[in-house]
Amino acid sequence: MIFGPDPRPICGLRGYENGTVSYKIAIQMSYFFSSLGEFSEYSALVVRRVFSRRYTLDSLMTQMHRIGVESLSVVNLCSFFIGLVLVIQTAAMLARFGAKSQVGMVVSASFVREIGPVFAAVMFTGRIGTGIAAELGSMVVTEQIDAYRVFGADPIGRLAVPRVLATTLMLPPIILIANLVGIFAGYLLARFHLGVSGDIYLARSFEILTHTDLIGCVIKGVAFGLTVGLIATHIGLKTARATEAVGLSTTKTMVQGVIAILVLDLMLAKILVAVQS
Amino acid sequence: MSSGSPRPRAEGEVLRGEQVVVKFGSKTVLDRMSLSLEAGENVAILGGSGTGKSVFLKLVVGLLAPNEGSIHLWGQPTEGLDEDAWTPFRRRMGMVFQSGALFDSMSVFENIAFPLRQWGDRDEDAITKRVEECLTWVDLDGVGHQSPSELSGGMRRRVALARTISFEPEFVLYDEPTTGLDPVTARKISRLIRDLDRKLSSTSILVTHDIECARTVASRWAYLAGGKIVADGTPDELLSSGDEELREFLLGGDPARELPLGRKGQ
Repeated sequence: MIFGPDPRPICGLRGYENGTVSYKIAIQMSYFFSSLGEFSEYSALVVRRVFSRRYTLDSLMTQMHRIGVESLSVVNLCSFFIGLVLVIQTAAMLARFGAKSQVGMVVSASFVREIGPVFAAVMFTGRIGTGIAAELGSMVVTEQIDAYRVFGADPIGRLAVPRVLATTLMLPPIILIANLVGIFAGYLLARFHLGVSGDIYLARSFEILTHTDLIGCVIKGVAFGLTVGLIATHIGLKTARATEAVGLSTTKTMVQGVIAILVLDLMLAKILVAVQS
Repeated sequence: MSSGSPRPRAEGEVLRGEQVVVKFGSKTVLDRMSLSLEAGENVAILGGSGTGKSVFLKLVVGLLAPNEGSIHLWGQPTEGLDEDAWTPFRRRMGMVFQSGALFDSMSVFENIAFPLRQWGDRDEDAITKRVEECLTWVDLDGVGHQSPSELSGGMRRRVALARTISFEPEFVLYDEPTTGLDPVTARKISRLIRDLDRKLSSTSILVTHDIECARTVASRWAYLAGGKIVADGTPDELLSSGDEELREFLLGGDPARELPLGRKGQ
């Protein structure tokens, strides 16, 4: 049930003695699988609604603009500092082997393959995902979602789909920009503080990258954006009718979003490495 | 209103709820409750807080599904309908929510135009004209461009009323429309609802614990307690009931207070 209370355990838990550790584990597992099933059902519904076009192009553009603009500053600020820290750490290590000039290669590969997409997605979840969950949760609490339904407007098609599409479309360019900002921050530090030649830093930075790296970055962006959008809208629309429930929904979005990003990253890293080799 | 004279009164049964049971976890909110409504009837469901009055409205409009029992609308069963299948019913119904439930992201104008655009049988000029008519009717001329957050509680309720009547529904559900308002504003809202029901010849359910509002709006009262309708009749019949609990509720806990009878519509 998309609108309404959390799903119940999928099994009756017969054979488990109430209150025992095994009972508690069994009930948690049962809740987990019920919730997973419901989330899959919700995701399938969102995908179907994308093609039924119950949203307007205007609402999609508004969400894309909002999501893009709101997240750029915070994501880029983080990338900038991560780029600086990465250069300090790796340059010290590389200097022991007389390879300080290779610092650009390490920073660039680390950023594009791993740090950029994951950090940007985590920051995106904190800035945008929680905002979406809070916004939709407040609409549940103030009965606006009910009003949508009573007036025959589908809240999933009208509210959730534009947000999920916007997170999916906007995260890849945000990640690419974050990568550039991180590499550029490393360049500044390497050139002006560590005395590494700027030309060598940049040459090494782009030499290591392949098309697969960039494609992988975009794939990760799409996958993370879609996941964050689905989790945030699902949790937001399922917010209980209490003021404190909105806060709970934002926390749940952050926790579930970050865990989902890390699990997905592991799976995608495995696939991308296999493709590259 | 767009039409000068009342709409011709429809006939037949609009709502039949039979043996409806609603449970939230282990708590039974409605326990085999039954209620029927004929076209043109204006019923007030009275009862204390937490007795399930609003839950019943949500069942009627399909926001909740009963655990047991059935809801029929215009003779059609509603059991197991999905969101799309509810659309033909909801097109004929309007609901005024307890909090107003105005869309924060839209202006007052956009809020009132929302159902008109949603049901999609008018062009933009006709929608603009209709929204202005509705704003005039609720005495809120000139606030169309404002955001709901700029309005007072009473104004928000009036906008919510205007939004609901904008598409002239046959069956209107009012969920505690006067709760939290000062007595003067509450009286104004009650009179607006009464005028609306007369003008549209609509069938309505008013859920409230405001006896003044119920007396102004409804010709039939149903008292909900313990998850069931325990008294159902005209206001006079309920007020002359020997049931202590009912009398205490209607007289606001003051047995010495006398409620003037038969003043509906004044």
